[in-house]
Formats: sequence, C-alpha cells, structure tokens
Amino acid sequence: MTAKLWQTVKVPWIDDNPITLQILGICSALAVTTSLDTALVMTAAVTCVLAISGASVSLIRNFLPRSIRIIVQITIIASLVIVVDQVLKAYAFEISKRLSVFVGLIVTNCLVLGRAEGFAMRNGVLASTLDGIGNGIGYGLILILVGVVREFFGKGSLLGKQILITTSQGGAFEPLHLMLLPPSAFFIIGVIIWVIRTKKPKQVEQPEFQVRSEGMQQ
Amino acid sequence: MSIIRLTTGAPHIRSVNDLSRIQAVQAIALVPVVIAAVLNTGYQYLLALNTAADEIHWDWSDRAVYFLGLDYQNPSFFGALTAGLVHVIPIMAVAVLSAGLCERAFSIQRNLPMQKGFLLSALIFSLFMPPAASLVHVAFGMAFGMVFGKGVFGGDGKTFLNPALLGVAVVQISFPTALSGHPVWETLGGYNGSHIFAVYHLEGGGALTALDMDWWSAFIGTTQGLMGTTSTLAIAIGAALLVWKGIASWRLIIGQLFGLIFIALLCNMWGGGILGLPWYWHLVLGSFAFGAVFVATDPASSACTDVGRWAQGVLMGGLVVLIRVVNDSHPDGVVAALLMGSVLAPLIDHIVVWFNVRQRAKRYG
Repeated sequence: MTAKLWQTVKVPWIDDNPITLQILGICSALAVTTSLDTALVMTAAVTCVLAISGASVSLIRNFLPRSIRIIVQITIIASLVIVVDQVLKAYAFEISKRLSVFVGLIVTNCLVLGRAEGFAMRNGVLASTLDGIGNGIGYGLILILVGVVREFFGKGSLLGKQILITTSQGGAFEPLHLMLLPPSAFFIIGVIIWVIRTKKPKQVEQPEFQVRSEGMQQ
Repeated sequence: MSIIRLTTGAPHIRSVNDLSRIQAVQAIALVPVVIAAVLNTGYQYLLALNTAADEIHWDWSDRAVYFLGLDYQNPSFFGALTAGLVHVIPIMAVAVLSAGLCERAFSIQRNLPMQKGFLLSALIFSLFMPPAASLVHVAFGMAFGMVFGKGVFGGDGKTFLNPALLGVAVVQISFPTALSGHPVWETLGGYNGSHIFAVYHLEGGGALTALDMDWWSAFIGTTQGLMGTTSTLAIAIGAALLVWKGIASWRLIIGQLFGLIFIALLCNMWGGGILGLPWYWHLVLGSFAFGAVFVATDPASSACTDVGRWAQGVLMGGLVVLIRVVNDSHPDGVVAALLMGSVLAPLIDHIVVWFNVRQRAKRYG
C-alpha cells in the first residue's frame, strides 16, 4: 500500500509530468519563469492548491451530483486560490506584486482542475492529496528549470544575485534579451520535452498519420 | 551507408526545377546583391573613417584595413572592395560554419546525406546582418535558426519558417543595441537598417535631405542599412532572374508591392510625419525589397495556391508599412511582417481550398 502511494507521488515527477507529458499549465510556465524566485513561489502556491483541492474534492466525491461537479470543483479551487493570494499579499508582498494576476489565474490553470476531475473524483483522500503534491513537484521541477535558464541567460543572475557580470555593468557577459520574453519559455520547454522523450521513448506519441514509405528507396 | 531519398511513386510529375537547381538559381540571383553589399559596406566604412578618423577603435577589422594600406581620404573602387570584403567575409564564414555544423549534426543523427540548403540560408542570413555584427551573435543566431527553424522539422522543404529569417529575428530581438556595436559604425548613426525610419519618426521629411539622401542613391544602394538590403537595384536584378526561372512566385512579389503601395497611400491620406512617407521611399529604404524577393518567396514557407499567394503578399507588404509607421520602437518591420506572413501561409491556403471546394460543390453538387 505504501509503495503504491509513494508511486502516486513519484510518477508525476518525470514519467507523467504535468507540463512535459500532460501539457497542462503551460500558460503559467511561460508567464512566471522570467526569474527563479517567482517560479519558486508559484510552485509553492500551485502545490498547496493542488494538494488541498485534491483532498477536498476527494472527500465529497460520493455526495457530488455529476451534473454540477465542475462548478463545485471550481468553487473549491477558487476559494483556495483566494486564500493563497491573500497569504502571499500578507507575507510576501514584493513577490506577489511581481506575480501580479498569475496567482489569481491558478483558478484557470488546467492542471488543478485536471487533477481534481481526473484523479480526486475516483480516489481516496490520502491518495488524492499525495497526487496533488506529486503533480505540484513535477510542475515545479519544470518551472524551476525554466526559471534558472531564463534568469541566468537573461540577466546573468540567480535568485536576484548577480553571478555573471553583464556588459552594461562592465563585464563580459552579454545577456540574451530573448530569454526575458515569453516565447523563450516555449523553446526551453520544447527542448526539455525533446530531451525527456529521447531518454524515455515510451513517452513519444504515435504520429497522427504516417508519411508513405513505399516512395522511399534504400 | 546513409539512405538516399528518392521519390519513386506518385505524383508522376517531374519538374526541371529540382531542389539543387532551385538552390543554385537562388544563389546566382544573390550574386549581384552580394557584390552590392561588399562595395557599399566598404564605401560606408571608408566614408565613416573619413569623417571620424579619431574614432578608430583598432579592432581586428580596423587593423586589417590599415594593414592593407587603404586610403580613406578619397575612397577608390578597390579600396571600397577590400574594406567591404574585410567586413563581409568573416560574417559569411562564421554563418556558413555555424549552419554547416548544425546541418552536419542533424545529418549524422538522422543518418541522412548532408543537404546543401544550409549554404543558402547562411548567405541570406549574413546579408541580413549589419556589418558591425559581432561574430558571436552571428554564430548564435544562425545556429538557432538552423536548429529550431529547420533541423527539428526535418530539413529542406519541411520548414514552416525560413531558417535564415528566424535566425535574424532572434538576433534582432536578443541583441537590440549590440548590432550597432562598433564605434565607427556608431558615428554613422546606427547601421542597423532601421535608422532612417527612426530619424524620420523624430524629424520628419527634412531628415532625408539632412542625411544627404535622394531616392536614386537609396535605389542604387549607397545608403546605410543592413548589408545586403541597401541596393534595390541589385535585388531587382536577382528578382528578375528568380521570376524568369520560375523559382520565385511573381504573384507573391507583386502582391507585396501592392500591399505596400496600398497601405502607404492610406497612411499618406491620414496625416504627416512618418505617415506621410510616400510609398516609393518605403520601397527603397530598410530591408523590404530584400525580404520580399529572397525570403518571402521561399517555396517551403509561403502559400502554395495562386490566390493564397496574392493574399499573403498583400498581407506582408501591408504589414511592413503598418509596423514601420505605427511602432516607432521597431522601425523596420520587415522581419516581423515576414514571420507573420509565413506563419499565416497554411491558414490562407486552407481558406482558399475551402472556398474552392464550396464553390465547386455549389456548381456541381
């Protein structure tokens, strides 16, 4: 039993990663990863919401009429997001200002609703909580990776601490302005997916159609 | 042994223009542009030294020019040629090397023969660079374009964006200020192709005469700009060859011209300032002509229905003027407009085919 629960936590790290395999929660991965600290805070916020919403939805899953289940799930998630947002505003105002609307937008993060609907509606409270934590970690791993790459190459710093001295400060490192723009996260996530699927060919999807092969000759 | 890909089944139509022939003609069409680029780059450099000799920075290109004993007091033809070669050759060599390495890596990985298309991409890419571009930027941009614009999509003919164009876009976005880099070029007032529009934004119609520019010099290409894009005359010669050989679609080129003229006339009616810049200036300034002839007509990344070509052409030409006029932080909108056009090409084709199917269904159904 414990092995199975451990598996629930561990599988979303790489094998069933929400961003690289389920391709959920991409929008926030583009928006909040310009620096590492916002990525970290976002990870914590999403993990909290995922775990608690998983537990709550799982708790009431047997009393939920099917026709209104999405509304109830969204209500639960929205209340949790408001709590997280208020906590961030109270204890980490600077960061919450930089995250701006993106904490509030966790409500519409497809990952949270996806786990509530896809997992918590069918599993027990403990399993759903662990699944939420596991998915939060999997989401966070990618966010942190993207955040490190973007902050390092975009500003030459990590967690706001200057590591490479940029040319404007008289050093030799030339920051890549592209890294501070949202499209760069697309490229980085694309490369991450590429690497993971090269290492784990099981994740490669079947092509939707095959290029005719009889036209090619050896 | 690598696999040689030959089409043996249907379709049974064979054209004279196979891949290597298309690329050869495109390369030949670029020859006048390269000559104009070399001569104008050298001419501008010597001119800049002439007016600001104390600005010499003594980096390697300055040393090379000095070593060759060029007389910048009164620039001669051979002086301009040599000074131009000193600037153009390193950029082209680095672009070819960078593109070739990426191409080789993918051909080894996929067990395919090396395709020659990278040479053309490197050529177009380096002609889109300012002469002061740092070689690191050139290598980075070219590699980015080749990997993300071409390699991951499967090589020649499977690109939905022109790899050279993607590389240029990445360099222009990533290093917006560094492209004017070298102090000698800086005295020229930012040799990055958009300068004239920026000045026009600030100072209006008098700016062109203040820069001592008339339409003819802009057409011949003795003005500042990205290396390969200054001489509209050389580009027109290349365009004639491409259209004559059936490589480039004349509908795309004329469509872009129409779009440019139409939107420019609309802007002229609207008001003054940069809005009042007449269309024949839009045609010769910046990199519109070069992009329209050599990049927009890339058969792999443009529309492939005739109506679609007209639509895409008009769209891109109009966008160039709109971006130039409206967005003063990005005064030469050619790269953005061409990217937009390439991205929309499949959609345009889809709509055209859909309309055609519906019309035929109405007629015969």
